Amino acid sequence: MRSSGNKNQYSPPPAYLETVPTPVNKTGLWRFLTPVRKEKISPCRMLCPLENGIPRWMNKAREGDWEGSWLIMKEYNPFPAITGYTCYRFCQEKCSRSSLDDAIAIGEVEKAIGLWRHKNYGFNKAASDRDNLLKGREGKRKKVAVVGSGPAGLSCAYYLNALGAEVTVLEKMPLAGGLLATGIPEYRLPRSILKKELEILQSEGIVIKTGLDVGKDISLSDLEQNFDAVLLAVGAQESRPLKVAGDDLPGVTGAVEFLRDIHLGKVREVQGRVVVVGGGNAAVDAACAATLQGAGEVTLLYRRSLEEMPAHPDEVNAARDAGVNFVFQTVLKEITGSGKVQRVRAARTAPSRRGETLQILPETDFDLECDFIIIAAGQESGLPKLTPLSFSPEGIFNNESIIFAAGDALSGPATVADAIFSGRKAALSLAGVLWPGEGIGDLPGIAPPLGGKEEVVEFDTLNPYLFPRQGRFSSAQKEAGRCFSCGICNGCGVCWVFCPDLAVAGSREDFEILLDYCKGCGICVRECPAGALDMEEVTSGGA
Amino acid sequence: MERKLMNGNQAAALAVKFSRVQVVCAYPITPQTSLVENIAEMWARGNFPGEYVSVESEYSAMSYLIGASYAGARTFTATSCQGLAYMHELLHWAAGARLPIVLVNVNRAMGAPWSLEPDQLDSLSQRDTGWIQFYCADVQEIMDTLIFSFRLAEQTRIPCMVVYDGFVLSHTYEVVELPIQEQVDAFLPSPPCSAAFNPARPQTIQAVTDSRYLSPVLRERHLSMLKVPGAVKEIDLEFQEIFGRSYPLAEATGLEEAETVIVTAGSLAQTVKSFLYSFKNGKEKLGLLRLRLFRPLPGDEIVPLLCRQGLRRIVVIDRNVSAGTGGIFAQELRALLQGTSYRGEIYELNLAGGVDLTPELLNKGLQAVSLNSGDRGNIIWGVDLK
Amino acid sequence: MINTLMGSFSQEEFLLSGHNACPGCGPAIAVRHIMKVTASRAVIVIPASCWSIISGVVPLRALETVVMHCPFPSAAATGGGIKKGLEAVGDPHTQVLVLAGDGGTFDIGLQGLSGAAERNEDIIFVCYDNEAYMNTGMQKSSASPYGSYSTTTPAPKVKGNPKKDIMKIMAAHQVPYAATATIAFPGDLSSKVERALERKGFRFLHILTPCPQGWGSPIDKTVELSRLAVLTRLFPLWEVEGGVNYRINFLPEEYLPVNEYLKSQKRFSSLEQSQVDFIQENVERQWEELCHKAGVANRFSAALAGHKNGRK
Repeated sequence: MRSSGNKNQYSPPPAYLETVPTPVNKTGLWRFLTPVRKEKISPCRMLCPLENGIPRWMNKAREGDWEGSWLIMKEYNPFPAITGYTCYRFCQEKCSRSSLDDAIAIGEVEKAIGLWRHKNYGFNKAASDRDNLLKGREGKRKKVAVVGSGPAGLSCAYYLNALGAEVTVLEKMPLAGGLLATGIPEYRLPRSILKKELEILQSEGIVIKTGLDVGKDISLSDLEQNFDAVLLAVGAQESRPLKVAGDDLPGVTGAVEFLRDIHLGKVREVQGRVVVVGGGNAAVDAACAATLQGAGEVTLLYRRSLEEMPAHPDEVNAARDAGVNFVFQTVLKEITGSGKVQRVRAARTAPSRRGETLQILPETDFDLECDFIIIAAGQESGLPKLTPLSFSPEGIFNNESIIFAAGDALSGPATVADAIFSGRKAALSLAGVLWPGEGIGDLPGIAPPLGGKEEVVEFDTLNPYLFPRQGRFSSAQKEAGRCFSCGICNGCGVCWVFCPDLAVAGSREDFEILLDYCKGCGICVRECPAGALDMEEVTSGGA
Repeated sequence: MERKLMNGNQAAALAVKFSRVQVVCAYPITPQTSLVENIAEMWARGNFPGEYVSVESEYSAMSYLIGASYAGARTFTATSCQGLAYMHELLHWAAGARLPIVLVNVNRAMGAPWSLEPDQLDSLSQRDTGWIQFYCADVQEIMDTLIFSFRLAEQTRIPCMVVYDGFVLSHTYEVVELPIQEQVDAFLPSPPCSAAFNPARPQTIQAVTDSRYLSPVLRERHLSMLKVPGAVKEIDLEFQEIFGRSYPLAEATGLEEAETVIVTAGSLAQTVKSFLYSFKNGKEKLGLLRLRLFRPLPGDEIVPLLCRQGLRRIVVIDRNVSAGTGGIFAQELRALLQGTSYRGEIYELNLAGGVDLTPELLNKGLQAVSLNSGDRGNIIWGVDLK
Repeated sequence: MINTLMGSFSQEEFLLSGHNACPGCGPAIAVRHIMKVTASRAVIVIPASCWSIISGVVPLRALETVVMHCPFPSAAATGGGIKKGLEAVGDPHTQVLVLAGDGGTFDIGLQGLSGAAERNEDIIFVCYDNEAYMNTGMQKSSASPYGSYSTTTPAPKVKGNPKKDIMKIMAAHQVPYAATATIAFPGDLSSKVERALERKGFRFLHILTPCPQGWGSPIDKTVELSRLAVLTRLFPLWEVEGGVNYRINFLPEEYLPVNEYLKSQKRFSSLEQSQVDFIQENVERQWEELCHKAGVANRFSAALAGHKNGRK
């Protein structure tokens, strides 16, 4: 018998007061400094010859979004497969990650994006961008001739095609690709990659005509008449002569020519002892190529020390592995032989830095027996042969001109990435001429070059502690996951995780600082693993 | 109805069982020890419906009950002297949080020096903590008052302290009429605050406040306390109906004709009462007023009883002393009669330190009173009369 | 890939913005993550501490659950009582989480804590340790580290005794679960709260929560200091079950001297090299002991040996 009567009912005691949730308390009023989203340039991008927005596409690759990473990649570099194979990966030299464990294998991720693109080029976000551009324009499509099918020419062709021009690429060699086809050894760039790239470009509407030598088969003025604009991207494919006695003997050749002949199938075999003269990539490539073509002994003479060699260390190491002998601080003085090369006379030099005057040490002459000499003492631009115009470093002759230049032809021998960047810049310049008023900074799918005033991420603004130490992954997606995303918010959510005041709304890239509640402690800024937030004095607004 | 011989601690333990207390948490201290031992024994044998938790201190015992009571459980603890003092801040907290905790304090002298005497200063020191205080005079009253207190505390949301003299009541056997469970259940419904809170219904209990909120809360506590005498009378009617016994707020014996009234509390009143009967043959007419509900002191009840023509003297017997002021019951009574029509004297017979009140001592005390002035502070010390 | 100790977190918040914590408050971060895990599963008991204020002064409320305040020393017992009371009124599911500062744990709360641990009360006791009485302006507690300044251990008489080892005390009670955690490793913290929720009986979490105001560190370094405390092994992340099964949750890979942690805090500004050495030596000894208990190799045993040699 338990009572269920109401006699024990009572009202709650007054201490159980109605409460008001704290969000009525605008603690943002306490704030002096405000976290502001401020994206910066990553060290990899700073070192990349084509200013590739690496962290941006890394962040897509990390999620396995290859299409997304390609769409970002192409704004900077339409040929990631090619650079993935050929580029010397300057980007990796100062990768922030290297201070924790090992630099990100950026080139491998780039290559993976390129290879994905090779398998999936049918889709077309780029085409729809182009259709939108075309809809906004009146009259016939602009026609552009690109002279030279090297990386600069192809890059420019790619962008102009994407921007709505009708592009014709003219190549004097029977093979398209310029140095990619006839300069870079097969082991550095499988020709199937180049072939695929050309196939894609053609499938997207670019016309490539090989075996057509501008200046010989067709004049430059013909091009000017038939096209709205012309880009000269003829490269620097003429070896500079060494100008020593005996350089006209049979068995003496230039490195560019030697490599080209191999790729064109004109040289199938090298026999006997080979001496290569020079310290650039062309010299090392030629030395390697000679070894691969069967040369008995290949000796490379370079006038300064190993440290001074302009060739990329990767190349030098590859050559050493291939069995090339390196002889440093040595100059070629004379080539002798009766009817053909038989020996060279060389001499030692005093130690010197590049750019310093070379001092040949007296009484150090010695002879080297050889059967074949490859001279790699620099290359000359093909431009002067074609036109008397002189171009600015940006490839522009003057404001009215419709003739532009790009690539090695403009800059002298440089890397594939440099050439692609040059082609991209030329495309932007050309776009400005072809479609004035469209504002080249706003064109879709093509990134303008950096202005040089952008802030570069400082290492101590990053937060490597948030990452476990780990070696590289063979999976490109996993490897991309190691990227700190320097300077770029990748939506990691660390700012959200550590905010004591719940003043970060949203944990993805589109997060927002709630100024009503942010007390300005700056933990988000200090903890951001990308260094993409700054504390600033803000009178109104915020991130 | 079963009648049983038992001591005060046993009666209290049984009352706790009858009251279906859900959480008992205590720390043993002489002379309370056998009370918690009795509960522990019942609990261990499965004869106790609630949980018994033996903690490491009185401080934790009261903390524990505050928690359990927050959660809505019916709670009980018992202690004495130092233990009650150790609970002190929590007594305030329990009252401030309006938690209906019931506590037995078995009076024992506060140290120093150590003593086991039944001095009342331990419970009287807690008079401002906001607890209801009952002082019991016999073992039956202990049992009844405890059962009563759960009802009163839960109805008023004021914690309740049931006080009785160490050894004199805690360890002295008397015949007690036991209730049957159905009676208790009819009197004492299940605790009212079950499912008092739920994390999905956020609330903050006893958060920091300022005077704007605090002062009204304190006023409310005061006003609620003032309503306690009325509630006691009301509940007592029901108690009487169910159990056939009734307890007044203050017990008056022979006040109608008395020239001298002895005012005291607890078991002392039993001694005085028996003395009254033997004293009937004396010249002076004596009366007794036993303070039972001490906090709040039911002035509306007491004052009319004492403001009677012919009453010349009040003798307050305190077994406690507030050093520098005197007996605390005397103080309270003086304060109560201030501004009333009472014009007689108020004497203090002080038994602080647990001086035993014998008829001889009482007699000597009354003689001493007749020779003394009733000036404030002029205390007749029992110990001097021996 | 962000460190796995970062973890993944519920989007739902049970701490509300607009709360009264100082800018850069470590305890606020800790409670935010604790409550993401406990959600509506637990009620919170708070003795006098910073959180008495942060959780809201009347009429404000910063936590989306039931919060009960209690006197300073009483938290563990009050928590136990609430749990017992809930069971008594027919709610065996709701968990009780005590949220006490280091004062309410190491000092004035220790008796009640020990009692509750010994009785194996079914509660989670979280000590958010900011190493002094911060709510009242940085008075020393027995959790204050050796050599630290406080207003009650002013320079040059900075605290001359090491921090009380509360985890050892808890392990000695053989409680079902005791763990350290800190805000720089919120994934670890969350999983420990989850582990605590899954167990029954007395569960203890010792969470280091830097207090920039008290420690005299830049307000944006709260998380960094928490991290450095772990990396320098001043505050290793570990857990123990039943007082016997030890596990270290994070093994620093590289040796980081304690000075990396000490140097950006003004409370340590009066430290001399010999005192820093003493702290380092303590770290090495305790780490060795912990590694031994957890059965892992001490990869920094050379550092310990160095100190042993130094003492000769």
